[in-house]
Amino acid sequence: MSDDSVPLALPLSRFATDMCEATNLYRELHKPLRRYLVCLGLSTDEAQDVVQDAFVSLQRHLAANGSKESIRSWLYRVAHNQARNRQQSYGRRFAAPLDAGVESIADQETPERAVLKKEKFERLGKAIRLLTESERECLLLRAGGLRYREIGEVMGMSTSTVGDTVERAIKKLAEQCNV
Amino acid sequence: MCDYSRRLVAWLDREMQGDEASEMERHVAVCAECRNGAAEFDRVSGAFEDYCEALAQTKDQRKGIRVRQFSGRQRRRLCWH
Repeated sequence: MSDDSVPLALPLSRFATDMCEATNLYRELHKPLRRYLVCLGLSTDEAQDVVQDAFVSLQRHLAANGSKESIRSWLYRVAHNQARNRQQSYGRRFAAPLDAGVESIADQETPERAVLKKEKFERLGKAIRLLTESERECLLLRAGGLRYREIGEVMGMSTSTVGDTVERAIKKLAEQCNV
Repeated sequence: MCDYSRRLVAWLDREMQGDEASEMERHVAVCAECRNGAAEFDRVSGAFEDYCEALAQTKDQRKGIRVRQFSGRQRRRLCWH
C-alpha cells in the first residue's frame, strides 16, 4: 500500500462522501499521527500499523453516522488507545514518551552546526526526561498541532488543566536547558 | 515576576481570544520581561518540535525510511521593535 492511500474497510460507492472526508483527513493527519506514535515509544512498523487501524476505525465511525465533531481528537484518542493496547498485549512496558536517543542530523548541516545541534538535543533530551508523562504527552500532542481543547479530549483532561500542564512543561524545559 | 507571564504560553499558542488576547498583546508590547519570556518559550517550543522530528527521523533511518519533515503547530509570530 502506498504511503498516501487510505485503508479500505467499506465499499467505496456506498460511502463516497465519508471516504472523501476520510481521505482528506488521512492526507492531513497520517504523518503527524505517525510521528506522535513513534515519539510515544512505538517502533516505526507499529506506528504505521496503528495509523492504518485508526483510519479503518474512522471509516467505520463515519459510516455508522458517528459524530463528526472533534474528529481530529477522536482519531488521536483511538490511535493512542490502540498504541497502549498493543503494548500491553505484547506484555511490554509502555515506553516512556520521547525516551529514546536522537541521532538524526540533517545531511545539509555543516559539521560545526551538526555538533551544536547534537549538544542541544542532548540537553533537551535530559530536560524532557525530567517531565512527567502527562507533561510529555501534552507537549507531543501540541507539537502535532492539536488545540488545548483537543488535547484535553485525547488525554481526558479539562482544557484549563491542559493549559496549565503545557505552561508548566514549557517553563520546566526553559529552566533546564538553554536552547 | 510579572503577573502576565503565567499566561504567555497560552497567548503564544493562540489559545486566547477576544479581549483577553488583545490585552495580552498590548501588555507584551510594553513589558520587556514578557517579551523576553515569550521569545524564550517560543525557542523552547521550536526546539521540542525539532527534537520530536529528529527522534522520528532517527527511527525511520534505522528502518531505511525517508520521510519529509512535518511542520508542527502554528504559533504566534513574534515580531516587535
